[in-house]
Amino acid sequence: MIILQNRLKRLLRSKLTLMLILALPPLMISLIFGLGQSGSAAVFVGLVDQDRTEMTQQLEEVLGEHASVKKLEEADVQGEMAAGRIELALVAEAGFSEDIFGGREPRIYSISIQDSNLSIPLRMTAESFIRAARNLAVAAEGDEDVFYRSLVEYRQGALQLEVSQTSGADRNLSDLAIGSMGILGLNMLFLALHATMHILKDRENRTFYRVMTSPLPQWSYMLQSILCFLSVLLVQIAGVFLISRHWLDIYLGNNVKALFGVMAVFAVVCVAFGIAVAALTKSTRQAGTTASLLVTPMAMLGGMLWPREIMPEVLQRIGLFLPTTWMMKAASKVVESGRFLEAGWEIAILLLFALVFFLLGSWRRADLVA
Amino acid sequence: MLLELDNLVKRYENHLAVDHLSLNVREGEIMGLLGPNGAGKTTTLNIITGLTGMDHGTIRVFGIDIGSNGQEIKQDIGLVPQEIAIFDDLTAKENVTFFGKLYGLRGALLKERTREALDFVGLGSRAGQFPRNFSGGMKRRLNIACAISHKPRLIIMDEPTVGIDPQSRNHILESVRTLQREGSTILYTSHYMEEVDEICTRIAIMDQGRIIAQGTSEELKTMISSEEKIEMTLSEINYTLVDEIKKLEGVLECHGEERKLTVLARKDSGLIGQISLIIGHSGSEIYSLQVDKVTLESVFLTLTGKSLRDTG
Ligand SMILES: Nc1ncnc2c1ncn2[C@@H]1O[C@H](COP(=O)(O)OP(=O)(O)OP(=O)(O)O)[C@@H](O)[C@H]1O
Ligand SMILES: [Mg+2]
Repeated sequence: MIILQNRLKRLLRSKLTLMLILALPPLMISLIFGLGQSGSAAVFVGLVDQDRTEMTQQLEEVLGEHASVKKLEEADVQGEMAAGRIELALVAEAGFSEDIFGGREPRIYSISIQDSNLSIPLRMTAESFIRAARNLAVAAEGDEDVFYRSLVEYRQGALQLEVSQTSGADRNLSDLAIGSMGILGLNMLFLALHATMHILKDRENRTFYRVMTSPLPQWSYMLQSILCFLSVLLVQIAGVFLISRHWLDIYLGNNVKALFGVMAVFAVVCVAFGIAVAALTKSTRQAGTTASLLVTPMAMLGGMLWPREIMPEVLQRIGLFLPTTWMMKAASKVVESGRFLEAGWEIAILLLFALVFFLLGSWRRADLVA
Repeated sequence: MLLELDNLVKRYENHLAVDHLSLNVREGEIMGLLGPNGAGKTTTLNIITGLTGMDHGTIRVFGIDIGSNGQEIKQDIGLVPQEIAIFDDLTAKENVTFFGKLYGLRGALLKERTREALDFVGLGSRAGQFPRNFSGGMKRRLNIACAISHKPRLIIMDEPTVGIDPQSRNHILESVRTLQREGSTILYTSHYMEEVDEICTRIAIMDQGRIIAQGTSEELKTMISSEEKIEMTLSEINYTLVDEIKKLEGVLECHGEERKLTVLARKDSGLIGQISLIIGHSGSEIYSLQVDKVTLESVFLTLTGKSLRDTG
């Protein structure tokens, strides 16, 4: 494992790599989806509480975890919003709690000038809280004590409970998860190419040739290199998953392991792609150009930056020849169904891509020295 | 024989880089491979180390055919490549450690050998520094340290002194001698003939993919030099003087011009005494006398019709 160790040491010594692994993906995700401001005073939400019950109190607390809550009177809402002091206002009318207890659609409505990156997640938070409360009310069968106790429990373990009760029903939440996987996938491609570039670097600094004059067989050199690149990508996936769930509060579907599995398969594709680029180009410069010419279009056509459906038919067709498309399809299926095997076909296609890339990557000249 | 190359041929398209090359290296010697740029030195070394395939020929290292047990042979070879092969993003010590590990060194022994190798090339005090801040000579020396920490039986050095300051160069030449004394056999490639002349126990001269002569430095020089040239400056020259010298046994040619007398004689004919006697009798005086020494340079010139320096 000498090569693996050597590579890891050199990769992790570069600040750029560290940034690519853990800093950039969450940053891009939160920039694009306007998340991550939770708890900060940057977002203001107005709450008009005409019900004044324990229920609305809880709602206020939930919102408070993600934004600064301003208690308002209905009459002030317009003015505050026009002045830009609040992004969103929620009006809980009298009878709000009653409705929830009765399992009915509660009397609450939201006001915002325009849906924004800041207001959508907040409204989603409120909606999912209310939905959960309604479900809990049904389960509590009118027992207030039981209800509030389970509501508190729900809030402590919000994600788990919500997951089992809404199970993919919520479009917005799963869209966010799938979108985040797109951003993660794009970053994985960049990281993989950045890492596999080291294969070319080692040819340019000639160390590859010297290593080849040692007793180490070439297959071992390649295998260890691949393992190194793969493990860096897996760390990235794990890190981004953790950050997404615990910092950005992104709901990653009710089967995070299965989603991790999809991304891990895509990691294999990314590494294979990087190996192929390294094998087919002659210098790091050429590889860098190739990479930047390929990756962004691959991400765009694959639906990593926006939903595939908004693209013209032709582009969607072209996308079918790219692994990014199949990764996004697999991720969508797994987020929505919660089952890994639901995406079996997509996974198989991804593995096929990996195989083809590895074959391209192992094409080599008879002599090591060219 | 530690290394036997028999009839190696390597063809690049329609160009023979190595042309039926045969060479034997004995245990414990410093074999110099001397040749101008493009002679095929590096290609030959690449074939030995397995980096390049050959079109024809056999190679035996330590008595083993390289086709049959490559890994075992590689274990006991240390290559100092012509182009410096070190990691800029690893410290000097980490570089040597990495290559030591590749040859199976571990633990305390690895540590000790790494330190030894760095001290040996005079980089002990810079072990923790990154080579990107090193001078050319220091990089060259680190390049050597990476090849010797596993104490290989055969050390192959490809132009280890190219483009460096005289101090680093002397250090390197001295280390090559030390390595030999410590029991390694060295195949030393260069296009600097002074260097090869100075440290090698035997020399093979290579040109256009072929070995055109081999032997000790002395053998090579005698081989081409059956004659020597004596140049003198005298107080005066007259024709009788020139004629008398011409009559001497062993003198092939003699001519005078103004006060310069040039005598071409068969080597080791011991004529200088007789010539100076004749000059003394003629009443002339010798101001200066110079016997042209044969160098490897002239050997090369004689064998190939071109100068090593011009091509190098
Ligand atoms: N990969 C290659 N493809 C084509 N020709 C090559 C290749 N490698 C070397 N050659 C040619 O083979 C010949 C021998 O090259 P080689 O590098 O062995 O010379 P050398 O003696 O090491 O020269 P130098 O002193 O410049 O290092 C040269 O003419 C070179 O152009
Ligand atoms: Mg060379």
